[in-house]
Amino acid sequence: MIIVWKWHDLQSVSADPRDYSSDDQNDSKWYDEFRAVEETTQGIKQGPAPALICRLKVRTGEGNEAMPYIHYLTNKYADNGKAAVFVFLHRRDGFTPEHVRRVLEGSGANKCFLFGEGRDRLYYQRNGIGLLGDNGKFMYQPPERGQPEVKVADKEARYIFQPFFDKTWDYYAHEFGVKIFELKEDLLSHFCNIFPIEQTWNQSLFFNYLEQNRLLLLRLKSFINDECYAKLSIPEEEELAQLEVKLKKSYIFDDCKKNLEKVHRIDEDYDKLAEMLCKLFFNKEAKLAESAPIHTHLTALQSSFQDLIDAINNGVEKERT
Amino acid sequence: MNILLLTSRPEAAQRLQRQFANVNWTDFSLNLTDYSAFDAVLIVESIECKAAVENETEAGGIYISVFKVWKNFLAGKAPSVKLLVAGFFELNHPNYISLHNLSSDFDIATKINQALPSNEPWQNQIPVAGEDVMEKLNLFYEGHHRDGIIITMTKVRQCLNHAYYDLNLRDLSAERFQEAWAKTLYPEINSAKGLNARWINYAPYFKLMPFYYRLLNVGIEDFMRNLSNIFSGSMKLSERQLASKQQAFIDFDGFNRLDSIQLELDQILNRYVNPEVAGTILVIDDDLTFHEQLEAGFPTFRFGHVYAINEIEEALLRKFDIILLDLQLDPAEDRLIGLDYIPLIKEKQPDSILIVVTTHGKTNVLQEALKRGADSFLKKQEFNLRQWNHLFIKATGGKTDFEAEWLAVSKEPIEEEAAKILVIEDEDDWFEKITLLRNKHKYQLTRALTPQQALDLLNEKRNYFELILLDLYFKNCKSEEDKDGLDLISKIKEVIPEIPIIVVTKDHKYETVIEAIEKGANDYLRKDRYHATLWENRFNQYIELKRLRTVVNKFKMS
Repeated sequence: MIIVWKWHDLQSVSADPRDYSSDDQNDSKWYDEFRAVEETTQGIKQGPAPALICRLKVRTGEGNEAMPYIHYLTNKYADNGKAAVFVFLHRRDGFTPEHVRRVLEGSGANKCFLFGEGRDRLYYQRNGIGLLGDNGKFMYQPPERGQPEVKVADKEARYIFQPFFDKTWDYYAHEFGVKIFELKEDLLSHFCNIFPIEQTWNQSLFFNYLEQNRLLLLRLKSFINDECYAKLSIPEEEELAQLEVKLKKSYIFDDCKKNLEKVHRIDEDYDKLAEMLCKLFFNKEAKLAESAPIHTHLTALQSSFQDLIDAINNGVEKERT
Repeated sequence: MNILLLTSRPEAAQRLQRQFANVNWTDFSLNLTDYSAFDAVLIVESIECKAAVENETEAGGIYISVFKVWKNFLAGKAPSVKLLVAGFFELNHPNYISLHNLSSDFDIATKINQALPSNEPWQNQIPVAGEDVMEKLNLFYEGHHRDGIIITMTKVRQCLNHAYYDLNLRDLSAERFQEAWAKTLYPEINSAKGLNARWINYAPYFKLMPFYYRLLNVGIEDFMRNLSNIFSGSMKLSERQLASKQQAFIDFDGFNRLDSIQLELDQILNRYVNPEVAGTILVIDDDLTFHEQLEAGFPTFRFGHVYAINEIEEALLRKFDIILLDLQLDPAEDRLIGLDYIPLIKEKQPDSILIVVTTHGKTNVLQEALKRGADSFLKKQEFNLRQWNHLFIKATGGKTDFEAEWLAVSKEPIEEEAAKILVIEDEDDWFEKITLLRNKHKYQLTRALTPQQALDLLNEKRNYFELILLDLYFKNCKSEEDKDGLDLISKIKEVIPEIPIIVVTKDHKYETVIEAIEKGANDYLRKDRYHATLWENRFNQYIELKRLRTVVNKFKMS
């Protein structure tokens, strides 16, 4: 994992990346490594597979400044495809979906994620998943009120503890599939309350019904991302971001499509589903079989979602093998 | 009609309650203990499982599937209650309801009638919606690249054990407690914190389970809270902090509570979370059909597969209870190449039962296999589902107490033959306490009052006893030598090496226990921690082990 963030316990090495060449022999000046280890009764030992987290020290005020360094590190760790590399880019440091595309296209990274505002699973929140605290450091929480101590890393020894690393890695290996699955579950669950289900589909009626669940509407728009009919406006992006912070969970799909194109190459399934959702809820000019009953549309929707999720899961399995 | 509903989706609940208004719906609650009044349990999957962190009720959770564990629970506790799963798959299954396709004339009573009972295997599987809670609960037990829950609890137990032993709780001075804090409790603080952290991480999953009440009954929540209070802070504490910790320690019924919790967790694992896995079997055979035959025939076991000799070493990196080895692994070879791998397998996995499986019935081949280290053999042409299953369950040992009628393969009842126990104990009241345990289990007890009597009995009936319970100090013996039960352990092991010995004693000093185990004792029980159920469990575990060895030896002899 390469995490590009404003690490508060790191001294940024330079305001000018030209001070350091990406093939600098003394490259540990501009990044440092934390090896994933197991803490056992016999002491510290390396986990079953070598795993590490790399932190970039280069100042990341502008996403562009860090790009050559990220490319260098991803290629170094990917080792011509022998190892899997996930890159995490902090939104507040100027990283955008465009940077996700550049990382995926220009380096050996397998996946690239945007994160920020404490709402992603990269931040330690619950169920032992996550690595980062909200203070610019790896998570550390002293024991209090019956809650145990949480210590994700040992800064001095440059260790990251295996359960935290593994759980976080495992989550991000499946993140896009999980996000799409959850959207499917919530969408179908919302509409299963419509009764009788034999009633014919009525776009405006159901759009109104969708609007009753504001978070779901915003997630759907983020997923579809259609320039003409369903794209998050800037206020809506901010609204979704606020909801994410409140719920401490990431719902936005802005880094999803690029990864599916690069890694899973299943963007066609994605596009097909996005178009279908757009027609059902947003595109008033689309020709819909309005005479078809609701359950026919929901069944087709379920089927398209499942095709996409299965394709992603198969892709993840193939990567693993 | 009464239906218990488990869902985290208010829209789905509204829909069901509106459409089936004649149903008496009850929401799942953790305090529910009796399910027999329900016609069905309906689970709407996926369930959103939220973390049990204060002030985070609004945080989004993880979407998980829980029905498999519920099925195991209902199968054992309320098999007449049908389990229905609702969700968003397009699926034609007698127990599944597709919510997005639920027509207004859907008849839920008919669905319940036609649903398959929980205590039968469901041939067509219902897909898992989200993450599988069974995997989550298994992770709780196995640890995530860390110690399993039993080892974690054992460390805490040992720490408490030492602390209780060192301290007299009735007359505990602040100085003595401070010393115990510095020497015993604080050095083990990580084990207690590890246990508490594991519980806090996984409690949200347990709270979606119908058996959570069992954990509540043994006070798991209080226990973890108190454990966390006691095992926290720094090496140096203020007087006030020490006094508060001392009081918490005195009030903490940690040792007994820990045993009860461990017992419950064990039972939950074996009965509900992982009931179908009676053990693990590695099959080394180039015959694909045989692999398939075993997988289909013994669904209660988890299989590992090796089809070629170059895969053997890698497969042996994982631990298996039983290894089945074909002797003719390479059809191109004239000789039985499997024989060459027996020493390697026994070297890598000395505790596994290695069974040679072959079509060769020649006595000299089988004798050669046993000579090289195989524990037993089976002939493929004599494949018998019931007999082999019974043998495998015996061979895995320890896990023979399934009460599950829902095991897909019917197994022969575990032999109810009375277990023969030699109790070497000179104190009458203690012997009587042990005889009380016979009410539940068929134990046939023989008593020896002195070490010499015990040796005489063992020499006379060499293969008769299945377990020995041994006191360590015999106050009525005349000779000094006879007073010490520790020496007796090695003498017994010289005569009958395979017999399990449990030391039952008041003297539970760490050094004594270590010495007893070094001399060959298998386990020890403290007299001041007498607990009928736990003791019986411990006895039965070793009796099963002894019987397993006898079964295997019989095979060898035959």
